[in-house]
Amino acid sequence: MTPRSLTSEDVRHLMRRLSFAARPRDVDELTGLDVEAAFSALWSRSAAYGAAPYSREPANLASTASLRQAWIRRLTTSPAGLRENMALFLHGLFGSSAETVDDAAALAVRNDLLHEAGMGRFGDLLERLVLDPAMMLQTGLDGHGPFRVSDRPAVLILEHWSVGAGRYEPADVGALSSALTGWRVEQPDGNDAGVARASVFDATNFETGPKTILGTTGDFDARSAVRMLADLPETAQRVSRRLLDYLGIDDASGAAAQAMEQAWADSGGAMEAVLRAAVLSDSFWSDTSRWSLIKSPAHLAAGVCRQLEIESPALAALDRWCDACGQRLFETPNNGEGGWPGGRDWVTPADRLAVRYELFDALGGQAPPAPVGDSTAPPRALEPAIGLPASEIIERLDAAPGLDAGSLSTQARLGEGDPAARLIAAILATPHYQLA
Amino acid sequence: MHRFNRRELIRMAAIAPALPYVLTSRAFGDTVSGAAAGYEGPVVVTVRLRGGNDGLNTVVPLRDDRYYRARPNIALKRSDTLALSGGDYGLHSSLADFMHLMDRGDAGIVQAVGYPESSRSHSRANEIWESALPGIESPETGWLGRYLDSAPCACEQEPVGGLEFGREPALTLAGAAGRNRLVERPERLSAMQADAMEARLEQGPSNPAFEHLGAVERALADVARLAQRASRGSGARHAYPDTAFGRSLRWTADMIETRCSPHAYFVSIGSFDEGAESFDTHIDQLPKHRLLYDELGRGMRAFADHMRDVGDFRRVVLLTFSDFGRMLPENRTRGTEHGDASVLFYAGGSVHAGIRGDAPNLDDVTDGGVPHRVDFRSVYADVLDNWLEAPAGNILSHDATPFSIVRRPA
Repeated sequence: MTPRSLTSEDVRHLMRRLSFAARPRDVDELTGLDVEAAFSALWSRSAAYGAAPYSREPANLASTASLRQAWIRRLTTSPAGLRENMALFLHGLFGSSAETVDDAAALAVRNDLLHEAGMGRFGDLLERLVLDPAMMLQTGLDGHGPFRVSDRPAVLILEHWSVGAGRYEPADVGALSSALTGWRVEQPDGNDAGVARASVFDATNFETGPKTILGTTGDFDARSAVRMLADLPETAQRVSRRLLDYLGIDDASGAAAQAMEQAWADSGGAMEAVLRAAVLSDSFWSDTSRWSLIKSPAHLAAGVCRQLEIESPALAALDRWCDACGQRLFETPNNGEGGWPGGRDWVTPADRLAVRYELFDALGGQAPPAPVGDSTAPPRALEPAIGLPASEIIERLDAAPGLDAGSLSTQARLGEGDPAARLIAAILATPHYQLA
Repeated sequence: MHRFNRRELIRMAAIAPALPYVLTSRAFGDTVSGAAAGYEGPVVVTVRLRGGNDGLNTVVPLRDDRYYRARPNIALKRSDTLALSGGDYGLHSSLADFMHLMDRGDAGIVQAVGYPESSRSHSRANEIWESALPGIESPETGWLGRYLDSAPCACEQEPVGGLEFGREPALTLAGAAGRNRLVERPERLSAMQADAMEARLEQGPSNPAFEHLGAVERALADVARLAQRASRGSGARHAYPDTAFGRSLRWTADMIETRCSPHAYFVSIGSFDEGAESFDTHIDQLPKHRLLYDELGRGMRAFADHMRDVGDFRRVVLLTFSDFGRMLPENRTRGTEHGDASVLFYAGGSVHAGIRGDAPNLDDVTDGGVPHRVDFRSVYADVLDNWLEAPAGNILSHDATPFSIVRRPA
């Protein structure tokens, strides 16, 4: 049942799902509130937070690696954790292929779009996304005209952005493909790194006339076609269910999904309303929805940094670690067709779990590194947590029930090196910490 | 000397230092109970050529005008091939290492392998090849998985009957008894203290996610033991390609050499996600094949040399499969589209070497696809009946006269 007044454990559950993990101050601020008030506080905090766009910081645009690390910085330290989580969800929903796009500036612009428009209406997001240069390059929409080579952009939009597999016919693919014609991506002069590309319409390459897509006939172009698709109840159903899966909500009764679809219809696809409906549902707060989500690598990294209030994480090390765990940001599987499957896939194959247990090493530290051979020195990034009593470390790290924290704490005191660091390392390398 | 049992080891591990997972490797034999002589029976290695390999540009019909008319841009000339006996056919020249194995009597190719009403969908075709159950939608077991279900084993001590290298679980080794494991990079596990991990699973939330993590940890422990044993193998002496495929083959050979438990191994070549080209050559087929066949040939030769070196080739059969072949005519992007039958490579210390089976009949092309002349289940039946000595009829649910590739040991 949805709690009337949030306990500290309820707050941790809410934050684990919406914002990677609770920082100590989050627990203080939100305990005692009702769900509606707590959600509103989280949403408002994210909506109001004015971080500089990724595309406006030149250091982010030097390479895709720089961009990934910039996003890891935000994931791990931004006060707008919910916004980052929504962007990450959308990143997976639409897919990303940095290798295909091969342009850090274009990827940065798209990432800004997901962060900004991801907090608005889904239809508005799709209208902007379909003509985003990075997305056009990724889907094959660049130069898509009457003599188009493939219907891939239309299939991707129908299958991954809107109604989903099995809900469209070949004729719909053809019609949507026709509506998508006429656009190309313009290369800036000299292709200077960091200079954003632009999408340009060429009327001579556009197929005019009525098209019938999923039973609706109109003089569709790219924007109006995806807007129509965004407004379909099937899209609301599919995206709502994807969001429930992403949040790890066990909605066996379907009540949460139904509430989200209704919220979608009532609000015109406003993500705030849809997410609010999910959080207010009994399913969100049920026992079967707690501790049931296998965290993604980004979730693990973002969570521990928030829990331990790490302000300067080792971004390059975390980037490599996330990649080794199967989550390279901006590079979803299958050449960007769809996102990461999530859930059990995060620990398939089995050695991925072994890499996840190395999160402590990946937390790294800032230069200078520990003297060679000094294995007792904890990573510099952990300095905010060093010196905390074991009981507080255990509470902050908020691992699933059943963890033998007392035994780990004893072992940490008996071993060599800093006991706080040893305890943190031990907890991070348990199956219990893999769950949210 | 007292030999600790598993319960005693777990109890000891529970009071061991709290960082058991990444330690300097200790003597493997100290911590594993029952480190016996190991498995010395017959082994099957399956290699998946991901994406659908073009048999016609592998074994090239040099005298057939229909081939050249259909492929004005991508047909191979005689000078692009290595002569096969008779002069009518040539092997793609990038398979020189494989040719060496054939000349040595260690390898062969079966032509025009497929099955009736073959699928041209990647996912469905792989299901069929891996399960050997074309009549079943969404099969849950693979042909070697079903073999492992019935194969004798000391399963409690040696739970792993089949080991797959890669990122995604394949079907070939999947069986009801769950004796298969999947690993991407075994080197990550070679320093792991496997026994210490199992004690931590006793308490946790009662939900499928935690139970799954427990199963993964147990699988991790199983594979860690294999990896540690295999680290004593001699694979470093051989010139395996430095690719995911090459590394997987080397691990496979090291595990066979060191008598690890699996009877069956699965590796693949041609995965985008592992940085390789794919055999799904819709575009620019020629340069992709040069890279892929070179890697395949070098890998198989290094594997064969390694196994010969340590005297284990006599108990190994390796065979390939691919989603499907390619169409006879080329397309507009110097590639080929999904087709039907293709070739099957095999190697081992006790095989019938050379080119086997009849060449594809290019008069009988249907919707561009080359029809099969050998049903793949006949090849599997030979491996099951005559190599693994397991009744093929029970495992394949298909009455197939075995197509002979293995020479039964005397």
